[in-house]
Formats: sequence, structure tokens, C-alpha cells
Amino acid sequence: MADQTPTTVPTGSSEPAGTPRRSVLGLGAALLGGAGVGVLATQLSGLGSDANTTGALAGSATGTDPEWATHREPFFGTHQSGIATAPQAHAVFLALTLAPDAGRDGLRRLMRLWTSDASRLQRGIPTLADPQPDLAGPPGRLTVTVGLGRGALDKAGLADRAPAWLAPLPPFKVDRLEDRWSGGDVFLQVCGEDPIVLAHAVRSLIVSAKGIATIHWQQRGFRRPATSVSTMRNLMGQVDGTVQPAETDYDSLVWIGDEAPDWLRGGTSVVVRRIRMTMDTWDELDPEAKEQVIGRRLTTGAPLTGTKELDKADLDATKAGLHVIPDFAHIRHAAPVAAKEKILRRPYNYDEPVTGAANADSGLLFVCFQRDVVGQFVPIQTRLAASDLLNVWTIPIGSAVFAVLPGATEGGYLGQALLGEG
Amino acid sequence: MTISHRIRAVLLVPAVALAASGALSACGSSTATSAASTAATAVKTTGTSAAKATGQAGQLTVTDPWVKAADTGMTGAFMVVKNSGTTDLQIVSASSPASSMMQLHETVMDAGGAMKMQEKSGGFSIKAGATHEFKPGGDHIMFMGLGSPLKSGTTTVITLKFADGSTLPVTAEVRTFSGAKETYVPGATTGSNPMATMTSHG
Repeated sequence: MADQTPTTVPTGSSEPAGTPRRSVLGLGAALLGGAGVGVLATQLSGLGSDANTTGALAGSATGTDPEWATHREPFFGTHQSGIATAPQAHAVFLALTLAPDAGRDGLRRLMRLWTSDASRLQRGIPTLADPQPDLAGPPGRLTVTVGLGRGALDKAGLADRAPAWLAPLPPFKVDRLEDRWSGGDVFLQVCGEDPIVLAHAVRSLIVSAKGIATIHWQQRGFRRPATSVSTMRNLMGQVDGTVQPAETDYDSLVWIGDEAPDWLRGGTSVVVRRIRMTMDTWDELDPEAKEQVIGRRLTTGAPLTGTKELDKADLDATKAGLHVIPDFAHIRHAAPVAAKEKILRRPYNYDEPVTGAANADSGLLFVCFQRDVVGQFVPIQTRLAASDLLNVWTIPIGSAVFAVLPGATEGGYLGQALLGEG
Repeated sequence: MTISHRIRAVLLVPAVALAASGALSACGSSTATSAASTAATAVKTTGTSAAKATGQAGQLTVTDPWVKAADTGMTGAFMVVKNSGTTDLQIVSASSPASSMMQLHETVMDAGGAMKMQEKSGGFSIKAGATHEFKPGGDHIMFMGLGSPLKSGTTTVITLKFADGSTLPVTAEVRTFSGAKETYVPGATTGSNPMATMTSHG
């Protein structure tokens, strides 16, 4: 994976020289490529023993940082990082509203600022004018991913260069969308293993946007830590994210090609949906009923027709005349009908302070990347909205679609092909 | 500097604009702003001129140049410079299309322990092999009167001039920054006793 090759920093990197990167890179490749669990475990056992021998897990002030802390994800490249990157433990998602007078010049200035900021922060280097430079490193696999909503192109006078799909999703009958979690002109996804470094990065990016854009919504999410060997679980208890496109299919399924305007080639699209879980009523279900709803075992994540998580679900299998994976099961309707109906899911859990009578404000920040929103995501979501029994306990309350820019080249900036001078 | 000095200097900074007192000369303390230093983690940026400079200009390596965004009046520029040559060099002045007048400023502690900013008489000498940091709360390059707003996310060129007459254009990023509210003491130069303050820059 060429874009996962660590970049060389000419001077002053905060990363200790000679830090081995192989195991984290192996982790990324294993997760993304859908490689077997055995490979994954092998890579991670190496990572774990490293961490233990340094004493870093005990929080020793004199120990060496574990590899996940010092590892850098490259910023410059064909594609932005934070998409094909193995998901980090923590994420902050933001949608911003461009100031009325920002225009194309303001959007260009914002992209220049964020390119400067992100390229430094991903190396663990403070931004220019950083008031808290000691928080910038070690970078802990920080990634900054930038996208544009339809509003950004409209406000910049570039509506004619927007692809048709860059618009709100069609309404689904399950939607209970709230404006405070929906839409937005400019999108930021900031992910990292270290929540302190992440908080600093997010603030740096927000400060850079001062006078150009204001925050429309901000959502925080979390997953398993980098040292975890298993697929993440969502807060309903389900193993979440087992089936993913093969890495070898990213060019056809994730990265945008010649079908799109030139400024988007090498980019992708992202759908961000905030899915509230009605935990109190979900708790009322027996374990077997929960497994029927999803079509997988809770403990192992295995499909009801298999024994292991990565076993392929047999949607045709029957028992006593009924489908083993029920007609209403989530995975039945999420499964692709057309071959291209596969999306790269990168979801995060959310869990916010409880308000009102409910005992939880929990859910999933459903985040997926795909080359074609209309051809890949919409058919899946249409089936789920119509027939998925999981809808009883899940309520989409936020939704947004953004065009994720292609990667920047060193010396250039994100969105340059769209916003370049002249 | 004692802790109490540091706290006093920090507290003085916002007071300056309100008090308009002739006696105040706080230029921000090192505590308040030195954290913006990027010397330890400097990355080579596009700030250095691509053109091959000669003379003393050719000995200077510039890292992380930036300017505090401002609409009008004064503002400061910051960078890390290294004399890569084998002889000392002297930066004697700076110019920019963004400001009709530029000054090289130093920040020094007065007899009362407060930090004050003043023009550096003769400019800055950089020893062979030495690194010098221009940073908020410390030495900096001052835009004395902006001709038009310096907006964040743009760049501006600062041309450094050296004792041998050579020059080095540096492209600096314009950045939003809340610090660098030092108060300028007009008329003061190295060794003089400042008597009055002016409005803060930025």
C-alpha cells in the first residue's frame, strides 16, 4: 500500500529515530485487507510485548512510548489518510459552515491552512503559531481528513463543478433527522490513538478556521484501542464492521475515478449518519432474539449459519422451512445485491451524557466511504430502511454527505485542483 | 525571572490596551508566549527562497516563517533562522510589500523586571553555526503599518537584508494567533529608556 509508507521528515521530527513501524503497518494491512485473524493476532502479539517490556502500559514517565503512540500516518499522497487507515481509537467529526463572505478565496485559504496544520500535526509537529506546541506529539497515528459539502461549492461559486450526488441523501422512512447533526459545508474527520493529541489537533484546526468558517456540528466517537485484537463492538454489543471490501478492490469501490470532475479523482465520498440506539428497549430482548435481529452471534460475531466471525453468511440456509438468518435480519439486507454494493465502513461509537428520562444517549456514528454514494450506499440503506428489524432500536438522527478531496502533494494543498488561483 | 514576575507580566498584557498608561511597557513575558516556539520541532518549509542567495543571505536557513494575521496597523513576524556558514552574519533590516515600514525588534527586561519591546539597534548578529529564534514574546520582525489586511491562509514576502547588502526573500504564512500582544514602545532603541507606550499590534 504505497500511501501507507511513512514519509521522511527532513528535520526535527519528534519521532524517535529508528522506531520500528512494521507491526502497526501490518495491523493496518491485515485489517484493511480482510486478512485472517491469525495474521492479525501475530502482528499484535508483537506490539503487545513491545509495550509491556517498555513499561509504557504502566504509565511510566521514563519508559519508551509504545509504537502506536509514535507512529505517523503519512499526510501527503494520492489519497487522504483516515480512510484506508486502520481505524484509530478516537475520532472527532466536524461540519463547518462557511462564512457568508468567505467565498472561493476564503475556502482556498482554509484549505491552505488545514493542509499546513495537518501535514505538521500528523508528524507530531506543532502548527505554526501553536499556543500549546507540547501537545502536538507524539502523533499517535493522528489523521486529518477533509471533505466538502454541496454548500461549500455553492458558496464558492463552484456549483457547476459539483457532482450530482453531492447532496443530502434521499429521505428514508426511518429517518428522524435533526439539523444539529445534519449537513454542513466543510467536513473534518480527525482520528487518533491519543485523545489529548487529538483534542489539540481539533482545536488547532478550529482556530485556523477562525473568520472563515464556524462549527455547525461536532461529534465524538470511540472504538477499541489500537492494541485490541478483535473487531470493534458497537454499544448494542454487536461485533460491528466484519465485512469490508478487500483492499485490492479499493480502486473500484472506494476511490473516485474518471467518472467524476477532475478535482475529485483520487478522492471519495463519505456518508456520516448519527444513529441513536434505544438502549432501554434493546435491553429487554433475550440474547437469542438479539442474535436473530442482527443475524450474527453476539459472543463471536459469527453468522447464524457459521461458527467463526469471518465465516461467510449463508443467506439461503433453512431450518424447519425457515431461513436460519431470518428474513428481517440486519445482515440479510445489508448484504450486496449488486456486486458493487460494498462500502468501506469506519464507524465509531458515541456515548453522551444522559438527558431526560432515557438511561442512555448512545449510538453509532456510522461513517462509510465509497466511490459512488448513489450506486453503493443508497441501495443498501433503502433495503435496510424497508425491512431491517434493527430499525426498531436504531434511529437515524443525523445525516450528511461530503466529497472527500484527493490527497495533497507536498508543496500543494488540499482542493488545489478545485480552488487553484485564477 | 521569578514566578511572580511572570504572572505580573502576563496580567499586564491585556491591561495595556485599557490603561493607556505611559509607564507600562510590558511586552509579554516569556511565560506567556514562549510556548509558541517551534524551534525544537522545526520542519523545513516552503518559506525559504528558491532562488540561490549569495553572500550572507546565502548562509541563512529559514524555518517556519509566519506572520500574525491583522487587518490594520502593526503586526509581528516570526521564524527560526540558522547561520549555516562559517562566518558571522548580520541581519540589518527587513522589508515587505505588506508594510511601508518594518523594524527589527528585541524584547528585553527592564530594571523593574518587566519585558519591553524596542527596535534592535544595528539588527541581529548571528554567529557562524548559530540558530536564532524570532518568536512571540521575544525577538521579532515588526510590520509597522499594514497597507492592506494580512488574512490568515495567505502568504506574504519578507525580504531580509544583510550587512553585506545581500538580501533573502522569505515567504511567510499568515496565521491567526491570539498572543503576541506586546506593547510597542516608540522611540526606544537598544540601551534607551522607554517612556511611553503605543497600541498593541495585532
